[in-house]
Amino acid sequence: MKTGMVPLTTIQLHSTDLNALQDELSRRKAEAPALFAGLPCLLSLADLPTDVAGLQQLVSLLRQHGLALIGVRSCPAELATELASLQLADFGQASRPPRSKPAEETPDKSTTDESGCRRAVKVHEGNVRSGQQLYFDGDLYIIGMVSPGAEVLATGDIHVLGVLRGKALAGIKGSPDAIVSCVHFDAQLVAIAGHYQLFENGHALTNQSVLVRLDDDQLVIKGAEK
Amino acid sequence: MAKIIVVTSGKGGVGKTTTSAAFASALAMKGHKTVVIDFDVGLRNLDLVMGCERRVVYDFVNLIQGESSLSQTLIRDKKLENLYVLPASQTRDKDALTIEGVERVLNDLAETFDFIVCDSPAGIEHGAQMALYFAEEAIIVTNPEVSSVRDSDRIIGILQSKSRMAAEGKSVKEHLLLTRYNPARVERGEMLSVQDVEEILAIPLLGVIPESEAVLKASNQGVPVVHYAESDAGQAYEDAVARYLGENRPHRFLEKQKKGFLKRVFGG
Ligand SMILES: Nc1ncnc2c1ncn2[C@@H]1O[C@H](COP(=O)(O)OP(=O)(O)OP(=O)(O)O)[C@@H](O)[C@H]1O
Ligand SMILES: [Mg+2]
Repeated sequence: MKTGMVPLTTIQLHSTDLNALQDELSRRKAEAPALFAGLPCLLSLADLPTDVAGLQQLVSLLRQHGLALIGVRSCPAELATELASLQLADFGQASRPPRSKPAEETPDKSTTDESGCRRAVKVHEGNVRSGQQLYFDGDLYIIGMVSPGAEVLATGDIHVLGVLRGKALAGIKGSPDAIVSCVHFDAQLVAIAGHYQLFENGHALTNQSVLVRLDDDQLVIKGAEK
Repeated sequence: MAKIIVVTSGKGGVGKTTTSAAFASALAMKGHKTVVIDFDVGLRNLDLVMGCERRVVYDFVNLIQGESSLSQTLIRDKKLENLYVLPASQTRDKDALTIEGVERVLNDLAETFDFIVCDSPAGIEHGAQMALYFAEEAIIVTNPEVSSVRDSDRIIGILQSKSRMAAEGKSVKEHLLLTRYNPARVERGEMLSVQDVEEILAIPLLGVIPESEAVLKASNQGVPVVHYAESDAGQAYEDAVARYLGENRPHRFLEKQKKGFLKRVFGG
């Protein structure tokens, strides 16, 4: 894993009125549909009186509107045990990100692009099916599988938390530091910054968890079990 | 309120029409008022398989264009009194189907029917998209071969992105129906196994229909195969519909047929 600060939208609600929230979400979604779909975000529970059932309803409403809710902030202690079952991470109490100063870490690879900006992150929950194409300007995380005949592209990394059977093209605007990883590897093609490899006849690491990076213009595929 | 089910596959000739006819008939046999619609404008096959081609007067396109009424157009099944067929037009163009037109007809049908089964044409173009647009549930008909599985995967992608449910932020409930399954050929490695297909498509398995001569016989006679209660395919379809309605039945016809007496004795 590499670390880096990623921009995450935090949603601060003023009330737990589900109808009001529903209206507000529909309105915003109509204004900017592309922005909404799969937007990774956190929900702040500060000053928001709610119980287990209320939290479940809030979370499912937000997810129904396509938001990729990945965690909560300022979670009251009595709700903390519920987070796992809602597939939410606890991002701590303060309204700042949990990692205090990731910018001062010295990762072995830069996570900045040429302009010095941190890359954006998109979390896609669901399978990418044959004939579908998913593109993101930044790092792309897929919680699901990528079918043969499907294509996922990102200007940054691509991480597939599932089987990668289709094509994954990372660093497509020429970032040689981009990475492709997946839990089960059975790809048709992997490319990083335009350097690609086809796997017509499979690969020694088929079905293993692998990480692919570019080393001296060569794709290097490393498995977790070797 | 009616449940709208699309029977779809992407690839042609995999058994959509056979399945639509069998599924709708079994639903009706189990007491549900059911209509089955042929979306295959230009080809019109469902009425043959349902054995009502001689009684077609008006069709789906007439209905959409307001040239006929529901009661004039619907054909009542000759065996099951709560089953109706809405035939496709043989002469019109596929573009005669419009979202608004289809919606109007489905709304009218929804007032009186429990289930609306939509037999999709092959492909992923206009006709197939019309058939699946309003579906709440989808039966993905797949043969155990790579090209069929690939097309099923594509059609699942389309269900998830281009259906009304998707537009409303919901999802179509998907069911995998593996048809023309031939266990002997699977054993010889000539066909994908149930497990292979389940793993690739990652949707719940509703049933496995064996490759069966009964299907050909049934369609030649214009009798949906579930009426042949003693046939393997008929039983497999009946099981699938029972499962669809919530019954828990084990999958059958997954193994090669029992060996003959001599082989059993000699352990062949
Ligand atoms: N289980 C089965 N065993 C044997 N033959 C079958 C089986 N299912 C379907 N068939 C045969 O396969 C052929 C195609 O079936 P069917 O017309 O139902 O497919 P379809 O998917 O509707 O085709 P199209 O894409 O052209 O609409 C028919 O000849 C039918 O009899
Ligand atoms: Mg057909």
